[in-house]
Amino acid sequence: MKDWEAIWAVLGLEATADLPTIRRAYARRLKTIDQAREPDAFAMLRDAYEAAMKAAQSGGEVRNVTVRLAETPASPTPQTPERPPAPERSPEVRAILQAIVARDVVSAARLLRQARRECGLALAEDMALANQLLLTLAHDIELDGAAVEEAALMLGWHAGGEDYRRSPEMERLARRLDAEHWYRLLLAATQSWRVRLTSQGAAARLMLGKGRIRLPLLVVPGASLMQAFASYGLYGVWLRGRFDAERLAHIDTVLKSRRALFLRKVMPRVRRFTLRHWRALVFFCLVVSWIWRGFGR
Amino acid sequence: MIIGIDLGTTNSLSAFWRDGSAQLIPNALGSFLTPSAVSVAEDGAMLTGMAARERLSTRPDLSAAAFKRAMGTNHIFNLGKKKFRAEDLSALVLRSLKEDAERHLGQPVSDAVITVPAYFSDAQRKATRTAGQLAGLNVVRLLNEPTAAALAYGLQSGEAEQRVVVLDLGGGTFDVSILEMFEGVMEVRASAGDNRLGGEDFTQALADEFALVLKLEDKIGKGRGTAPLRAAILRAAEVAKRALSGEHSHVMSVAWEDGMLETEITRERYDQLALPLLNRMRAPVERALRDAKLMPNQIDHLVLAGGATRMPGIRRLAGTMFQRLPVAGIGPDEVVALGAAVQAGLVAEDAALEDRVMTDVAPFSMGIEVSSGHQGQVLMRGLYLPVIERNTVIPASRSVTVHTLFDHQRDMRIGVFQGEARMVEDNISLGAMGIDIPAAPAGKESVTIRFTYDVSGLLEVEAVVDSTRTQHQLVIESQAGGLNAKEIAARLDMLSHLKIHPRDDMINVTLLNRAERLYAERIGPERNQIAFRLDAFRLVLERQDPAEVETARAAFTAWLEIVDRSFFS
Repeated sequence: MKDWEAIWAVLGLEATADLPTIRRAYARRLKTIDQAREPDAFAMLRDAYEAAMKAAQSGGEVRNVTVRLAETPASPTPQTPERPPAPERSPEVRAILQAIVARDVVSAARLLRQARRECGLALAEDMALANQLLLTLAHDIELDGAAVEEAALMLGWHAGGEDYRRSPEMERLARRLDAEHWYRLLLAATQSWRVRLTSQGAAARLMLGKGRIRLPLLVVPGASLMQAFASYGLYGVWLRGRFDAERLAHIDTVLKSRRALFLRKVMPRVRRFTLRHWRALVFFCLVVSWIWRGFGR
Repeated sequence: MIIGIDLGTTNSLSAFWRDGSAQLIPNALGSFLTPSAVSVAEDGAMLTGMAARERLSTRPDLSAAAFKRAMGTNHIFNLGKKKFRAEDLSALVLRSLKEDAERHLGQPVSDAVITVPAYFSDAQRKATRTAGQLAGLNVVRLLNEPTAAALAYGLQSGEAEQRVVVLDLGGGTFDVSILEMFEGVMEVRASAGDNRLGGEDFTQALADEFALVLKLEDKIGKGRGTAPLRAAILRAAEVAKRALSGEHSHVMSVAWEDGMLETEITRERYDQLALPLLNRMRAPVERALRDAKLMPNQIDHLVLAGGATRMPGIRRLAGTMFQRLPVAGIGPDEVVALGAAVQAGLVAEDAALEDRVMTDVAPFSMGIEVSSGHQGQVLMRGLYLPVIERNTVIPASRSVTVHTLFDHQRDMRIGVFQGEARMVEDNISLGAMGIDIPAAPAGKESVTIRFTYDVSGLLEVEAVVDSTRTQHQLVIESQAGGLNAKEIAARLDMLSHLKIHPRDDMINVTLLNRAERLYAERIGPERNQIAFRLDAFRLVLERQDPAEVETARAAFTAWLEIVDRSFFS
């Protein structure tokens, strides 16, 4: 919870939701501060201003508001975009929109890239189309993973693009692409002989329905399986169709059984003991035997 | 007295603030634009400006230009036997600008505001400041170029509340800034850009096309002997680029080995060549809008800055993108320097600017390298954790706390990066430091890392171990590409021993170099005529009679002007 009284004090204002008033107060205070020499004072003012603006825009958290938002005479809120007069849509824009509506994301992405290359799109149209496509890619669970990947690659949105932190959709798309990547790794682990022999490979095969579920078999890749389950929990939204839910539940219950739990908790310790202490033990024995022989002579 | 300097890739300008307005400062030749070029004369003296630019095609081995693109790197320019870093060459240009200003103002100049592209990295900014030091200037502020353009523009536009987008395509960099103006406050909402896109790239595209059409690739190559040919082609491409802004087609011609290499380039072909470059302008614009949380139709004005925005292709693209015409008024070459002068007035707290204030943003995110993990198991290495997010209003100070990942972890390496990618390997490394931590179970020890970003866009990083309160300061200057104080002193010493060509004689040298360049460009009778007049002028110069030199120079200049119709300043 922010200290609203302090915020309004920094701005020299009574609590208000009137944007122009806040801006005027900020401008007035700003002119008394030398940004280069008083960075702390500036930071304080700036934080207060941003908090006040945010609260005023959302209309919620302003405490001690004397004037309710609904009653304020229609103050010119600069943040509401004016509706542009519905523009004549060019054939390219219409084609892209049609492709998005038909959920053909690959050709929509290709058309959009083409239009961008030719520099013929107004930025407003371009951003609206890209937004629409991004929404589809991020939220349409039914879409084929490979198509999503191809479309994202075409528009430079793969690996989250450059703007991965900026919009929740972009983040969602990045997670979705991560899911595809993870699934592919999992698939590869069941196929390559070298990886198959490791615990990761065993875990992957168990999850993807290859190999029988037996307790001793399960315990060996226990940690890997738990990790894979965690990733599945993260990515499962998009991959649900590719996994056998019953099988996963079964593996989970077996893993959580008391014996498995015991083995999983104890075995790593035994293994760790082996790694760290056997070497010391062997060395100690060697030293003892050497001393013993020395004394013998 | 504080002057404002626009240190450009192709041209540099200086301006100052006096009596409520910004005024440009003319150089020794009476022109406002000083080409950012340096050359070594045959007698070992250093030439800068137009005199050096004219030698680019005749003596490319002794001349250098576009060194701004090498700022912040360890690239070495070889001019004859002398070796220079980009900072040294920039310092020479700055020094000549300083001298011009002192002559014009009649008083010593010690302080300057220097503009840099908004998208300049920390290393490049520090290199620019070093260049200022080497030129004997105290750099009071580094100012982002699009912000400068908006400052110059904003002063014209009065108090009204408005949002402005500035597209700044200079010789070597492309910047976008979105500004909001209200109550005398000019607030930069967002900046974005491309560090490797500028007018020079369009020239290069034309030069490549020329070489391709005439099948000159093997002739041009990389060898030393072909440097004059490459320089001549680049010059012809520059001329063609300017001509194609107005005409429908242009014949590029280069004199080489007693013959003319010629090819015609039409507007359509040029537009085709420019398309991939124009394409790269879209992404930064869109990103700036997204960061400012604005839609394109909420923008009130479109301002174009930088000489390259004279190209019709770029004006058309900007028009389509924002569905409006760019604001006219101030010349695109001069707007940045004028803005720098306004900033100089702001720094000096000039009375006429009392009611004006400007806030800028950090154009890129800065952060540290982290690993995510759980109980001693590392899940992901090399993740990027931004500390100061891009488009945070500066000066800003932010901190994050990170924890140890392993039991008994004794040290921590803090890598500082700049960029937007999710993995640090895709971002630019600014430096690193190692700090010692007392041993404890995983996650029990923590370190608070504080980033402080000042008004000039320079970064300081401080790390505090929370349990012991020990402080560590990351010195980014020691990073590759930067110079430390000792090295700066050494470079300063080196520069002070250079022989600088006397300023008063500059106008004559420029004329001689220009005539020599024309001699190399032309063939046949024209060439002989140039040689004849050139020798005559040399003889006049040797007699050293000021009055005679004056009249001869005027006549020679007038004649050259006719010969060199494609001449540009």
